[in-house]
Amino acid sequence: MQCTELQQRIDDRLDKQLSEAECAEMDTHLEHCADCRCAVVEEEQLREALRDMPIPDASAGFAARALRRAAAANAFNHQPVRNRAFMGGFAAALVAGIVLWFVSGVYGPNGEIGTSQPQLAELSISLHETRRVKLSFNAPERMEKVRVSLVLPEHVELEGYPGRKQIAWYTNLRKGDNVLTLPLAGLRSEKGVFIAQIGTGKASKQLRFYLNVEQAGLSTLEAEGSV
Amino acid sequence: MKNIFSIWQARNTENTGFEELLAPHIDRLYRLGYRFSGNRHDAEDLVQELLVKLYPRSKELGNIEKLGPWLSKSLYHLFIDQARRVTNSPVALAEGIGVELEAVACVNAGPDEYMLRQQQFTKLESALFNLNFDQRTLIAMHDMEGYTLPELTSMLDTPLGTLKSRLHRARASLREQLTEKQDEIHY
Repeated sequence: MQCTELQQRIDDRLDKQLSEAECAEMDTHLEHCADCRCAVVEEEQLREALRDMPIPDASAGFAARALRRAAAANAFNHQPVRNRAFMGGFAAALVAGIVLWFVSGVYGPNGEIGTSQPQLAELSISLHETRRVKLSFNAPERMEKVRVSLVLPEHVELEGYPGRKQIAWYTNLRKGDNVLTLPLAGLRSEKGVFIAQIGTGKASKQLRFYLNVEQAGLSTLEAEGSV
Repeated sequence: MKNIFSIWQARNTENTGFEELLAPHIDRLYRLGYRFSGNRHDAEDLVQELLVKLYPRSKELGNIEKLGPWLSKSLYHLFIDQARRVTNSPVALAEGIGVELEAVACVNAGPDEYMLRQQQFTKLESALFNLNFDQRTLIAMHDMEGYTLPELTSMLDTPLGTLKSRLHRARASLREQLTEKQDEIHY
């Protein structure tokens, strides 16, 4: 066996894809070839390092919470069609309102920052339901390194970021509409203010709206009971 | 009202087997999700979305002979779908979200050894995330999480020979990345 052939078969050896005879042939070569021994050791060390790469524990109670939310999300989706249509249309109207407010409120036609403070919009979501809320950013031109920050009320969390009430990051906006989708989950029945801020180093604009978390089961029963 | 309440109860108890069926697999799914995404938040998000999608299929899940590999395959496809959606998203969540390295306790190492190991892992992680999706997920499943080649041929619907070639190329790319990033690396 030549060095080239052996080194091409290291993967097969470590993946246990070689017969005993093939392994023995390889061992015979390795006894006399320091370069190939080194290649095998390096590959073993890389695989060991990959296996040992740490994984942080999932957040406390994640498994139970995830199973519970899967059930809750599907319970919501199985509401009667008429009720679901009502809830969906209602939410869509509110979201659209937020989107329109934001489009007109962030940057004016000349790129100036608006200063008016319109009345706060209100969005309702059901308890333990994850609702995808869309915020639309209309940029007059391509903008780089725009800072987006969110401040969540205590009773709401951004799915995937449990326990975090303030989240900020930098992003680029392209000219025109840019949509940010936020999967928001209600933790308890309450009403609070959600704040989103967008801006550059020179100026920024803040959006506030009420986020109202309602009891899902109660609203369903009331809706069905009114039939 | 009594009738309505009964219907509501029935709706919420018809999938009681779901939890018993899926609970034993969540830890492994989370691990795999973490290997794919590289951070805890996205890994949890991925597993959560998978559970939401699978909940209405509880009865079907009960009939699957090897549920573990089947779930891993589903998670893999979900991750690929999500990754493509993010790539096409008009808003790029560029920095500060979903890319932070998690602090991981290392109870058996002293401070110096801990720092050295962290540096090595950071370099390796960085090299992994410079690979393409296919290469990274393949290394994650086989070299990191220990899925065997026969398991992967079934999970990915890929012939053994093709799979071995792809893994070989993925490892070669990883080595190239590591060589580019440093003159020498000690594992």
